[in-house]
Amino acid sequence: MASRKKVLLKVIILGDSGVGKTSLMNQYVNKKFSNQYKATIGADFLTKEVMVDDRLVTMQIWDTAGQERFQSLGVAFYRGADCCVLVYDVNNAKSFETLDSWRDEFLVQASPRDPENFPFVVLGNKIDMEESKRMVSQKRAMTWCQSKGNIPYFETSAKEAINVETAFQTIAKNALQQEAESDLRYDNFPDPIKLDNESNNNNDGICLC
Amino acid sequence: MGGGIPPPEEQNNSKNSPSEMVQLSSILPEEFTFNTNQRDALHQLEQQMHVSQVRLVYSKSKVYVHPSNNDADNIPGYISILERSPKNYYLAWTPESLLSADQLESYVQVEAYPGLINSEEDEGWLVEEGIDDDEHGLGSTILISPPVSLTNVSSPTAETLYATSAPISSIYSIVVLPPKFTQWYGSIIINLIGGNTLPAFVFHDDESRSTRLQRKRQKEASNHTDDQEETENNTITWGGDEVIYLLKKFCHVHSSSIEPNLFLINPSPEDISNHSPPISDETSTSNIDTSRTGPSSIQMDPLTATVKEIRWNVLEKFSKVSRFTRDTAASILEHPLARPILPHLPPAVNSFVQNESTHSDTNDTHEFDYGRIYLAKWAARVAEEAEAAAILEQDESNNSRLAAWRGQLIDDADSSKSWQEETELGAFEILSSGTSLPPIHHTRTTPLKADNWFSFFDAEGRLQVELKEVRAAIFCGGVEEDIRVEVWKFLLGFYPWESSQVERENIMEAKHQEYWNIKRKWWDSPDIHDDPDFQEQKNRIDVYDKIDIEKDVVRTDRTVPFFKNEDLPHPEPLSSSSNFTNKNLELMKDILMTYNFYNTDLGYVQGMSDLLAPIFAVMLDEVTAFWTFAGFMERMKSNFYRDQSGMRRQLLTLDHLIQFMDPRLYKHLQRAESLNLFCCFRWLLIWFKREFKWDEVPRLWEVLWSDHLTGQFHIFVALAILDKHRLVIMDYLNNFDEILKYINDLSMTISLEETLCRAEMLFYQFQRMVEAVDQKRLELEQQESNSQNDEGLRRRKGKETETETEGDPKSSTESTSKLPVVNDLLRSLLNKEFITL
Repeated sequence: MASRKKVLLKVIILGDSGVGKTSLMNQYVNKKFSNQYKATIGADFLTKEVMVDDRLVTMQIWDTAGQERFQSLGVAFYRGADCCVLVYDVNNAKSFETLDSWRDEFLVQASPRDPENFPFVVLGNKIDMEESKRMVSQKRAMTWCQSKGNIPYFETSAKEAINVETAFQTIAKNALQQEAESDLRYDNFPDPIKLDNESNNNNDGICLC
Repeated sequence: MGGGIPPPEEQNNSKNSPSEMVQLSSILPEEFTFNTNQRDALHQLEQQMHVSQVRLVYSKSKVYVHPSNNDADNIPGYISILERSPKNYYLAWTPESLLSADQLESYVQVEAYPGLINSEEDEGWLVEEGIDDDEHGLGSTILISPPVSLTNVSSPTAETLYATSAPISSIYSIVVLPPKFTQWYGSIIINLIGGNTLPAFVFHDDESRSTRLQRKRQKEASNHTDDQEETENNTITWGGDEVIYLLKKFCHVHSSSIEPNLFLINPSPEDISNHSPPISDETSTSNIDTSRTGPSSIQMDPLTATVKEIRWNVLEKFSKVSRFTRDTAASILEHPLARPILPHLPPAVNSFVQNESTHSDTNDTHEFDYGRIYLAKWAARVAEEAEAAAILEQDESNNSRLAAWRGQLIDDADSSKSWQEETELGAFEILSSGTSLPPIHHTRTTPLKADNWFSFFDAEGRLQVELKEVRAAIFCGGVEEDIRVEVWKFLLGFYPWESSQVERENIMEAKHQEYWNIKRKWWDSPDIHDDPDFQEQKNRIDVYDKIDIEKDVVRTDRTVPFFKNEDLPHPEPLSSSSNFTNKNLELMKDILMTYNFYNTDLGYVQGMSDLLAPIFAVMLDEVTAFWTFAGFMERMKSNFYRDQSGMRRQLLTLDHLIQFMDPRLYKHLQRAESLNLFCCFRWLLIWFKREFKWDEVPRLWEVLWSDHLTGQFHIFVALAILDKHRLVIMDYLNNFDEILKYINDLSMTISLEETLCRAEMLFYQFQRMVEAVDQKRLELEQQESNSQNDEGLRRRKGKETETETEGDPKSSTESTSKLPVVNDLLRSLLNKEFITL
């Protein structure tokens, strides 16, 4: 590794109100689920230390308010993000349809240096609910993800801790890669991760469950 | 260790130095001037004794009388020992307010330079040089003259009521209550011969300069002697202990073995036999340890002592806060007494401590570090108790500085310097340059009772007192639960204040009618939302509002019993993740939905369910809950505007207020890139609903609704919380992430009453500062116009460090430009009307 500097990965979770952003974060960090989390107002974050590619990194996971009314606040939180997690509720079509605008909004407000290659991850949450309630098919979601540059896609349940760990591992990995790229670009450090591996990595991340 | 105590040059020759010779009339005059009888008595006494001067032998600051349980009533003063004629000693307590500047100076000097401090053997005990142990050996040569009690000389004011002085010979016994966990401050109670008892004197050691000094000395002494913990334990002391120790120099102090906290003064042989065996007859200072470790000594329990010691340290560190003392945290934890705690700290903190002590470069300060947040919280908790108590007093001689500014003044010299370095011309300088203003008091008291409430109304049910009186009562204490429903209907505009009972009954009926009319718009046809035509028609009403309401209501305060149950099948199970609900949840949804049809501009916005829940839980009735909620929303609606103009205005107001009131904190927030104040977003959006406990929110809100001091008292509540934590924020938290996290995590840990006290005092402080700035500006402008003959208005640029040069006309323009700006947002805070945009 070029530097032994402590690595902090900043991850932003976005998506409509009630899709489970807070629950996913808490399930991943605290291994806990509650259906009594209040609607997030403003923003908050949790941190977790994880090993990624033999490196100890700190993930700082930002949970934001989902209601569209508060989107304009985002700019304060999005800056410096290394990865953006887009969450929707598989039982709520509207929450899927707004992914586009969440993604655009993020790119506008965070203005990452290389928007084309900025790492997103999409989570379709609440797969624990009855099949009859499901409104967005896996195929539909994956098609969208592919059209946006092969965004890794996971179907999760924060309630039953399905796929949460796996999804966040990919999030951490892609975030670290993003961070390393910025290092490369700005510090001229030799980077062990090759840029053209990125799309492969992303494909690996896709979970077909 | 940096130089702690002042150099002892002055006190070496102080045996008869003027500073210790105080005119009797200047020490005790006020006590005796209140009624002529007493004045005459004193006169006689003086003549009898041929005293024109008394010697101030010993003084201890920040000894309080607590006349009530209300901190606001506490009276700070000095305990002192006076020698009125040779070997004729008096124990006195004098409120600070009775001391003139000159007198105060004497007291301060005697406290700071108590003759001789023999550090090595004595570990910092204060020993008056003039008192020779041989001469005043215990129990030997003290003359017992007929007791002359001058106690409880009363006067019209509460403060002077407690001023007292008694010959030591008139003291029968002293009850000593050392600090305990439950009672942070130790106290002593003096019983006089004849059966009178003086009020308890409470030692606020954390505020007392001499006790702090002593701590410092002890710490230094212990550092010299190998840093061993046992020496520390032995030296821990508090003010009451010290007084008893000193009294032993002047009289026979006999420790009762029956009652361990009781000390008999010059006891008779019978008394002694009743309380035998006597405490060791120690006269030399080196005996102190043995006497204090005896079974009947008045030590603090070791746990209290340890906690107190650590707290001293934290406070002391805080007092040295300078701009980049990032090693502060580390050095606190390196203290020997903190070491046992270290293993219990999470690894993040430990690694933080290590990082901090090995790395001294500041490159990382802007990188988020969770260790810092943890450490900040820990430090805040440790400092909490002592700080909280100190902060609510209004006793500092420079009383124009309040609360946290006091905390910053712990080490007077250091902080006032950095203050001036950092401010341009802070409003505080203007204030303190003016004449001294009376201290600021808060007015918090008990909640308004039903009796009092109903006494406000006449037979017809019309208000018969001034509305402002009612507002004041609600502001000062909130209201008792049993009248809350009624009071809130007025506060939230459901009933006009000027209405009669009959009118209110009519209003109730009409409002019921009106509510059902609105509700019917959507209630009659539940499918209405799926009907595109309907949506076309009501184009502003978003079909998704219903979904959002559903989503939020089921997760609003579900831990509270009122909303907890799941005893109703969900009417539309497909729309919800839960198949069950309860009656109250369903009514909440109805009210919010109806509000959506009442205020069609706004739509449902997250946060509204938080605002409704406490109101509904108080009103219990759908219709009145709706209307009172709607009344509340009149104040709050701008928070929810699409363009965020309301929130922006409030955050900006808070921004200006911090800048005006606390430039140092403001600069820190600026450096930490936190000036957007998003850390306060949730506070202001839903009026601290998520910050205080469910049961406390109604109390907070009714106080805020009272509009007694200002229509925007919630801004001062926000300032108060920041103020409370300002030292921690400035010392530990260096960037946006850390500050946001720290503030978010304050939720459910904030004391409501303390916050309200602080907010109120901050308001008064603000008011004064605005007046002072206006006054100053006026003066400067007048000076300027007087010297208008100089055509060119000279404006030297960028000289921020230059101090105000009052009276120099050339610089008056410059001075005006440096005055803090009181803009419209700030002025709006003095307005009692609440703001609607």
